[in-house]
Amino acid sequence: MVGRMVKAMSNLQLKYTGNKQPTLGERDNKNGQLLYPYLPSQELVEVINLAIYLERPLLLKGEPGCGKTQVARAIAYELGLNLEAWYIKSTSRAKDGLYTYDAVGRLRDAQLAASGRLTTEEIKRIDDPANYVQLQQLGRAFNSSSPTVVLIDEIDKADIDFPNDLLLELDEKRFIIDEVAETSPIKEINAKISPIVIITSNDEKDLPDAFLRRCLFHYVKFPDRDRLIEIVNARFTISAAGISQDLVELAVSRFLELRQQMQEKGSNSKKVSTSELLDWIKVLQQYPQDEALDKLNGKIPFAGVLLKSWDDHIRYLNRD
Amino acid sequence: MPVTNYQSVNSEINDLPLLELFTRLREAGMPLGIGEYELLVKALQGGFGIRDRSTLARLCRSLWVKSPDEDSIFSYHFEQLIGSAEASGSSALIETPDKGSDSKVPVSIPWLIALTLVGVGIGIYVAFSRTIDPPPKLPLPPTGTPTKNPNATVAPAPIPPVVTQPSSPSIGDYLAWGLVFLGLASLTTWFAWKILINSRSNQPIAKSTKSTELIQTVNDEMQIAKALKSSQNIRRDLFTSTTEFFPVTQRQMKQSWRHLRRMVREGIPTELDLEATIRQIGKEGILLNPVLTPRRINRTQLLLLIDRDGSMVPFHSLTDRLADTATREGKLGDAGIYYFHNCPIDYLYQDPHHSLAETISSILPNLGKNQTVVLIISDAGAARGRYNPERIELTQSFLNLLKKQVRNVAWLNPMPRSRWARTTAAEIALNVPMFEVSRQGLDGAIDRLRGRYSHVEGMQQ
Repeated sequence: MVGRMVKAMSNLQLKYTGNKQPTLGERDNKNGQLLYPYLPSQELVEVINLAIYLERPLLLKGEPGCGKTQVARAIAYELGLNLEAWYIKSTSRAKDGLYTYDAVGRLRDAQLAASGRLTTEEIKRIDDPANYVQLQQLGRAFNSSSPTVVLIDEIDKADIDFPNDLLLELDEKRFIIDEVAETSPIKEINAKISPIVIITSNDEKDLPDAFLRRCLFHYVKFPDRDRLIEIVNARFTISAAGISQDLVELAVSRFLELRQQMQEKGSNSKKVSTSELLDWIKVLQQYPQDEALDKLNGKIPFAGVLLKSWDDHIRYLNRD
Repeated sequence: MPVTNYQSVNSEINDLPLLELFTRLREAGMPLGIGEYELLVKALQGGFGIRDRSTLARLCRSLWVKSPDEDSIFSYHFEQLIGSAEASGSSALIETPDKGSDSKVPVSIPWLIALTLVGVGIGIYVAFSRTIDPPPKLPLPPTGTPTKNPNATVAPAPIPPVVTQPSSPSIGDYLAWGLVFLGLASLTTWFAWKILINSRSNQPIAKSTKSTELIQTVNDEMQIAKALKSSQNIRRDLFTSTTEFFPVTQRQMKQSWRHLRRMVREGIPTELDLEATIRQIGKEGILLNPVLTPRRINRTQLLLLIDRDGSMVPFHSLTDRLADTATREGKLGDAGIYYFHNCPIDYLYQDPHHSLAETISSILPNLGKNQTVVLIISDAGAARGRYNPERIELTQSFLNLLKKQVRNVAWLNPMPRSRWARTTAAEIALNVPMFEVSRQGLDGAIDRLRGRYSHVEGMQQ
């Protein structure tokens, strides 16, 4: 009970506001990549704080390119926590995110020991299988004594069993390592502090109900016009020498027009997303302002950044 | 801290927040449990969702709503109970007066009935008592009666009934008839009001559903759940618009499709095969190389062939639902869905309207023999109940061609098994395992596609 209380107390103090943004040119200290600001909607901030308070994973769905994956990075940045990112592939298994056991390595060491090529310390190492266990993202998050943000990206890519295999881990925040002896200290890994788990899904496949029940759910909506302008401003004042407001507004208007047209055509096809808008403006701002504004008033310039299929090209470019 | 939370919840049973909403959502078929409710209470105690109605709605949505269908049901019930979350929601304006009048009418109706009956009763009684007066005073028998027979008993003189003339109309009469008239008038107004209420109370349901867009079709399993409940308490506001009455609900379809999988070890050997390695060490005495084996992956691709138009028109929504759930479960892989009409002869069509054709001879060789399984959805002539030898032959030749190219074939017939006898379907069922569309039928078909022969089906009646 005391341990649980300790867990609850420390998570209670974490509150995400979405206001703390990286400064110009700031880089991630782990991989050296440039950090960009992330402006979440008020509802998203609310539901993130709800997930932190209730200690439940948060499932985010939304169009591709709307910034689901960046949420976890933004939370980790603002709260100063470590981020453990787990990018799911179609061949991923649930165990791979908890720990890996290097069986082949152990066999190899045993072989070397048998042929007498190891020192005595190394030989002792072989005896304990725990030496060959390497914790992965969720395992490290559970083991750490400070809260961690865990990102499980694109969970619907994996096989249908995958979310079901994670139920115990997400619910009770513990897992068992099968390959070590019963008496080993790392037999059962319990989370000292409940991690903040953000799960994203592209909604290509349905997720099982038992899994959905344990998560909080939020659909990341496409931002409205004002918010889009805010996002563009935040992104581009940070990188180059600023960007003119007229260009931004005109570009956003054309973008929204295009998106509206796509919406009318059919709801199933891919619509232009926020990340494509940002790429597009990045290209546009390389040109002197007058030229860029001229281009925007005609046909959609650099359509390849926004339109990704031949059908779209034919439909929207010939319109003007 | 958790202990006090539970205590405070238990001690104020009547103050449990949103319990009514939770119960209604459960009755509507949403998969919610006690855990979900406790989560809501915990969040409320943590200070979430108490600012205004829309924040509360968002809180409940994040916790309880996991799909768009559930969202519409949630919005509907939330608005019913708590009122519209948006300030401009017209449903709120329409709901509250009717809610008020609905609650007023049941209260006032008994009083109104009593009043009218009393009024009518009093009025009639008084009115008639005026017209039929009580017996008047009798004229006294004359004193000078002969006393010839003093022996005769002096019987009291019979009282002759005397009908007096009706006296002139007085205030009392007016009062009496007035009461009768009042009673009848109030009866009439009560009836009229009741009819008006009935016709008006139909509207708020329609209006509020429009405002929450409940006219879009609702998930059929929730409707079935409601149909079970509604036999116990028939409330008009529990019925939502749906046109789906499928023999297999969407959730059941999804679960059945999930069974269609075949885990084989394919690809690059990366995993250690422990038993094989140990065996090798035993054989050779030393460990030379660990034996590696590829990982298991799901290698099933489903090819769906759907009969469309003609006798299959009533089943279009069913086949669409099957195709949709199969796609969303990711079963189709590279194979996909093709359409045909009655019997696939030379061409299969990529779309339901038979416009994009592909020859069978170009589709079949591209299917991986070990991976592809084929499910044909067609009534096979059972819908119209006819026996068509030509159709049997064409179908047979197609099936022969198909069986060589794929691993397993199964046939789903939307008509129930009892309707197959003496039709084309019965003949076709002799050559290919045919199942009706029900939970067991769909599971049986999928078992067959997996290569499991669970019981003899389609062969015996």
